[in-house]
Order: sequence, then C-alpha cells, then structure tokens
Amino acid sequence: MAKSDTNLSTLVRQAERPHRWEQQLDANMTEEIVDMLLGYEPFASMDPSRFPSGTPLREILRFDTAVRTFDTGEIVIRKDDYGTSAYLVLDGEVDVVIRPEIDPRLLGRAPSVKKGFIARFAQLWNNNREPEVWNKKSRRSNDSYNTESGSVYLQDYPRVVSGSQTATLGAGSMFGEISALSRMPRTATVVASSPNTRLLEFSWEGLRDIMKYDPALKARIDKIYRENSLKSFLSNHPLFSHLDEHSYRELCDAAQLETFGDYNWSGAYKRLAKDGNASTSAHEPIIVKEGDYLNGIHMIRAGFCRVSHKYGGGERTLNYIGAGSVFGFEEIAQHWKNTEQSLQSTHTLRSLGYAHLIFIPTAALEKFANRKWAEQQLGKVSLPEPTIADSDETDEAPSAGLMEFMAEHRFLNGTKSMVIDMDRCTRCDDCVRACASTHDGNPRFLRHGPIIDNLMIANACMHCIDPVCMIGCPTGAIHRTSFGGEVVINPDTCIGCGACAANCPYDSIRMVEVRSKKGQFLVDEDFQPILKATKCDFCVEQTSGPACVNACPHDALSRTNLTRITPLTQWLKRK
Amino acid sequence: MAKKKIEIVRRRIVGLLLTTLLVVALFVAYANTFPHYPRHPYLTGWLLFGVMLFLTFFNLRKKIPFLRFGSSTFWLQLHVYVGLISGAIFLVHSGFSWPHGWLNQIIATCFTIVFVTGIIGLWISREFPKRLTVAGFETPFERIPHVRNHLRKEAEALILTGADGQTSPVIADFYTKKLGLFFTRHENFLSHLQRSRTAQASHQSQFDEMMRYAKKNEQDLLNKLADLVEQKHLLDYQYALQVSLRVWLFAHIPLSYSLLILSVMHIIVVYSFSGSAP
Repeated sequence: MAKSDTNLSTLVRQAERPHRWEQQLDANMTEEIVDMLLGYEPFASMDPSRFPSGTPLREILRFDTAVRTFDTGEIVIRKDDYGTSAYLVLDGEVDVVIRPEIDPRLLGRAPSVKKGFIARFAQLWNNNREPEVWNKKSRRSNDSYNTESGSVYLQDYPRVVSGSQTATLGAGSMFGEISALSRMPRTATVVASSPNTRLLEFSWEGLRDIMKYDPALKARIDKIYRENSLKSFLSNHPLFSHLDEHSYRELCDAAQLETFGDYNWSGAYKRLAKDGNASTSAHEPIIVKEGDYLNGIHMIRAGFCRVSHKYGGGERTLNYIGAGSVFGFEEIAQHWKNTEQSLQSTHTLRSLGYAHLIFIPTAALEKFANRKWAEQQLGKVSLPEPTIADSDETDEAPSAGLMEFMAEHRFLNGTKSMVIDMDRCTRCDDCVRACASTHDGNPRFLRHGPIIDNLMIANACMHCIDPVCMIGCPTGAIHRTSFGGEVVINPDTCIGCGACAANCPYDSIRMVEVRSKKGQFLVDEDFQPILKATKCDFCVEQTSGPACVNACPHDALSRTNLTRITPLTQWLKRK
Repeated sequence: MAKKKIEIVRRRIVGLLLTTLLVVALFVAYANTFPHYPRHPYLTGWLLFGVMLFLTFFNLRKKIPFLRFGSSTFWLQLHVYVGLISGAIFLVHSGFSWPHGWLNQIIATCFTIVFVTGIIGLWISREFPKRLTVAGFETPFERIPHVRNHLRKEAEALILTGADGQTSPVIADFYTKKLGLFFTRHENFLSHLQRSRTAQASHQSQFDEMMRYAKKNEQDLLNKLADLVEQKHLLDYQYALQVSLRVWLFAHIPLSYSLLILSVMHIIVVYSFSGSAP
C-alpha cells in the first residue's frame, strides 16, 4: 500500500481545484454590501434555504453582482450592443428610450468614417514600414465608448430626450435580463435620469442561478419576456401575425421558453475540436429525437441547431437552422391535412453550441395558427436531401459531406465568411497584399483554413451572427458597427486582454505586440509588451468594399453568408 | 454542374469569337487596305503602343484594390483577350517578318517572351490550382520551409529513438544514405511538374526492400517513416507547382515594363529618322 502511495506521489501533484468564483464581478463587493442588498426586494423575499450549499444566495450576490452608480444622462446600456449583464434599480430612476431612437453620434457611435479619395490613394505610400504600428489617431474611435471612463454621457440630457418617448423605471425594476440570457442585442437604450442612480448589475451566470432557485424571480422575468419580447417575436411570424391582442396573450402564456447548450459555447467547442470530437453530434444536446411524438413546434429565437436523421449506423446532417426557423411544422401541417398520418418527428434536432427556442404546444398551435398559410407552405419548407457522393450531381442540394463539414466547424455562424475556390486560386496572395495595403501594411487574415473538396474557409473574421468574441470584452472595444453590423475592434480602447481571441471559435482574432513608428515594441511600466487584438474589419473604412475580393483576378474569393447553405452552393455553382 | 460548365464554355466562346473576329479583320485590312496606305506602320505602331500601355495597366490595377475600377477578374479577362490581339497587331506592324536592327530585334525578342510567358502563365493559372487541390497537403508557400523542417525533425526523431529505444544501424544507414538529403531540400521539381511518380515509386521499392530485413517493431517504424516520405513528396509537389505559379511572372512583368521603355525609344528613333512623318 505504501509502495503504491509512493508511486502515486510521483505521478500526481497536489493542486487547488479550480472553482467557479475565481474572480468577483466587482472586487469592491463586501459582506456589508451583500447584507445591504439582502434588505432590498426581490432578495428580501427570497428563501435562502432554496439555494444549494454550493451556490448560496449570499455568494451569488458577492461574486456575481456589482453595485454601480450612474449620474443623470449617463448611458447604462445602448441599443444594439451585446451585453451579458442585467440590472436592478436600487435607488433613483432610469429612462428606457423607446422611440425615436437617440442620434447614434450622441450615443458614442457614428457611421464608420470612410476614407476620402486622396486618403485612399495615399495608402500607396502612407502605410507604415514597420508592422503593427499603433497610431492612436489612425482608426475610427467614435464608434465605441468613451475611452477615459468607459462610459458615455448624454450632454444636456433633458433636451436630448425631450422628443423621445421614454419609460421610466424606478427602484425595484429590472432591465437588460432578456438580452443577457438570450444573447441577443440590447433592444433599447437605457439612461440614468436621476443623480446618483444606484443599479445592481448581475452577470448572466448569477441571474441564471438566482432564477433557477427562486421561482418568484423566474416567474417575474418570464412575465416580462412574455409581455414584451415574446409577443413581438410571435407577431412577426406569418403563422401568428393575424391574431388579436387577447389571442396573443393566450398564445404567449402557452409558449414555453427553452435554452440548450452552453452560453459561451466556444470554449467547449474548442475542447471538442482539440480532441477530434467536434464532428460527432453525440455531445450536442438533443431537443427533439427522430421517431418521438411531436407535441408542438420549436421556433428558434437565437443560436443554431443541427437537423439530422438516422443513416446506416450513424446520423446524417440534413441541414442547420438558425434564428427565425421553425422545426416540426411540416409534420404537423401534414397531419392537419391527413389526420391518419403519424405525428412522429422524422428528424432529430440538436443544439449546436447554444440555442434559445420557443416551444408552441400542438394544442395552442391548433387554436391560434393561420392554417390556410400553413397548408400553403406545405412542401416549400421541406429539407433538401443532401447527396452522398458529390454536390455536382444535383443543382439543388448540397453534398452530405459539405453539410457535415459546415456543422463540424460551426461555420454556419458566419455572415461574411471568406470562402476560396481552390480550383481557381493561384495562391498568388494578391488578396493578402490587398488586405495589407488597406490596413497600414498589416494583413488581417490568413489565406489558410479547413478545406473540403475545392472549398477553403479561410482564417478571416466571419462577422458572426452570434459573435461570441464580444462576450467578456471588458471595455467594449470589440463591437458591431452601428450601420453595417460588422464586428470591429477599436484599437484605442482595446486593452489587449485577449478575451476575444480566446473566445473566437475560429481563431480569427490575433493578438499582436504593437510598435512605435520607428519599430520599437511598446511596453508598459513593467516592461510587458502592449498587446492589441486584430482581425478582419471587412474594410469598413474603404468605399470599395472588401479589398480581398476586389483584388482577386481569378474570381476565386468571395465573402459569403454561411448562416444559410444556399448562398454558398449558389456561389460554388456560379458561372 | 452542367449549367456551370455551359456558362463557362459560353463565356469563353464569346470572348474567343470576338478576339478571332478582330484578328481576322486586322489581317484582312493588312492584306487589302494597307498596301494602299504605305504609312500604316505608324497607325499599327501607335495602336500597339496603346494596347501595351493598357496591358501594363492591369498590374497597376492590382495594386489599387481600394478604388472602384471594376473587378480584378474583369480586368484579367480583358488583359487576356487584348493580349492575344496584341500578338496579331505586332505581326501586322512588323509585316510578318523578323525586324532588322539591334533595337528592333531586342524589342521583338522582348515582345515574344512577354507574349509567350503570358500564354504559359494563363495555362499554368488555369491548370495548376486544380492539380494542387487534388493532391492535398495544402501548404502556404511561405510555410513550406517550416513544414519541410518539421518533417525532417520528425523523421530524425524516429530514427534516433528507434523501434525499442535503440537505433537500428540498418535503418539509420538507410535513412542517412537514401533519405537524409531528401528531407533537407526540395527534390524532383521537374518530375512533379510532369506528374511523374517515379520518385515515389523508387522510395516505395526501397522501403519494400528494407521491410525484408526489419523486425516487427522496426516495420512499424518504417511504415511511419514511409508516411513522412509520402508527405515530403506531397510538399515537394506543392513547392514545384506553387513556384511555377509565381515564377513566370518574374519574366512577364519586368519584361513588360522593359518593353514599354524600349518602345518609347523605338518611337523616338522612328520619328527622329523618318523625315516627313505624319
């Protein structure tokens, strides 16, 4: 026994097991503040005994919340930003700006500044000779938060909102929770409207846990969601767009909200990819299993799902579907037409990464759905059968291999993915040179990446529909442009933490050590190099669009929306 | 697929037809009209110079991707068809004969090389990418030395570690004599261009022979080594084709600029000595 113990000690080394609360959301959060918070609603009414010993309410408050103070006119959240926090008003008031929206320039945003004719020409000789020169004045700095304080103030706030319809939220009100939980952009701008407004910020993990163990808060957030977001979502779908106010209320009450997969799925995906398991669907949570009784439809609100069916000993991917898609509709509509037809699911639906869905039970569907429209759609929405051998065999369906490839690499997330036809690409790197010439001499992508048949998906930012890179950016330096929706990085506010690069599932963000114009590496007071995150910005500053596409003389390169397979198959079949 | 192919063929037929039409029109004019117009070399000369300027502009267009001047693909197609027409203009301009005088001969030589390298380049650009795609082991050109070095280190580590912790002298000798150099430099450039598999077959037979003398665990080692050799062949194939995809431009582009300079000299000389030129 002693011998085996000795052997064990040579193989292992004791280390502290990592735990969830390594870091506090706010380092200044103390036990006294937690005591104070427990006196506020809704925490005062919560039963601490409902929380498990591993995640007690006190600890959630201590580690996953922060008390923030805002002055009048200070923006708390901006419309269309991606955020992972929800807020509870402790003291004071905030205004939710409903319409018209505040001028983007006042919110710290402005249209991306395009280079003028002379400035564009000057790129021929003005680019720095040294790589990665950090020129503070060189880039758009007006599309993000103020660099000094990390916040934006609306000067002369009463005048700015005087023409806008606003809703005032007082102590005890919550906002931002839907966006945080469903990883959708903020739907409104919220501004502090009284001095010293104190807000409690929840991280999404904290909010999720409190909702899990406190049914009252869950019911409250569900109610807010059903009253606001859910109604808006359902009324935009042709199946339900004909309903009146009362029917919407009933439908929203019947609908069930479902969330599958990890919120920050990139980490888990990277581990799977590293172990070579990303191609199998076994790790993906099943939402509907093939052969199961279909008791309703699943409407995808955010994220992606894989649709597959059994084939031989395995499963074959037929399609991947994203926000706005409906699963199970075809079978149910067929059943309406022919009641003898069974109501079994003919496919399996799995969450790819993270998916937020709305489930409408069959009973509610039968009561509220527009049957006439549904029957008209029969046959139009059926899933194409991929061919096994070769996509060239049919003009309509993508090859099975291509579908598996897209799902395995999660490329379905990209709205502007760089796809290269390797049968045409002469490897001349004109695209890389063009990229460098429009980015101060530094190319912002690698002409390299996974290949299937003659298709390469290059290592360039895909400007994802679900930009996980934006989760956790402490300064908001990585953000979507207000107008085109491209994901860009403001180099002036990037602190080089590398969170975005670590989160990007496609390794499309590179951390670089910046230099002075003379080529000297810039270092901080501890002589550590100053890092900046860099990636493709889709040439937002150029009027001629992406330089890589313009430069390719062989029509081998395109920026394609991969959230649907059709644009890619059409491009592959072009000319 | 059928539609795609039909569209490509249709576009090429239209382009070639137009080009042929222009070339035929030029030759007809040369045969019928030009004999009545003795100063036609001035006309065709300026036309040729203009066409050469246009063709050279394609390279400049590639350097300014940030301006809206039509896509590079469109410019390349124009470059190809106008380049073909330039050959016909050159023939007409020179009266279908090799010119006299050293300057004119240098110009004619330059033009011929630029024209021929253009045709070869076009063929390479259309043919080699497909071959590279089919071959696999896609490696960016700049990374080829690094990958080669990596393969060499892996092979050496295999040999040094040996089958059971001890280096087999037979296998080490085989590696030193037959594979040492192979892993340190690019080999079989021409045979790869010709798609010959002689070198691979030769290595395969050497491995087959070695297998006869190897123990079971040494055979596993040899199999791993054979995999590395196969990868090195693929890397050499990538190198040979990617070099070819680039190297023709080193003749085509500098000579195009030289041709422009020589043409300006030619124009000056012609006007200096032609007396009553128009």
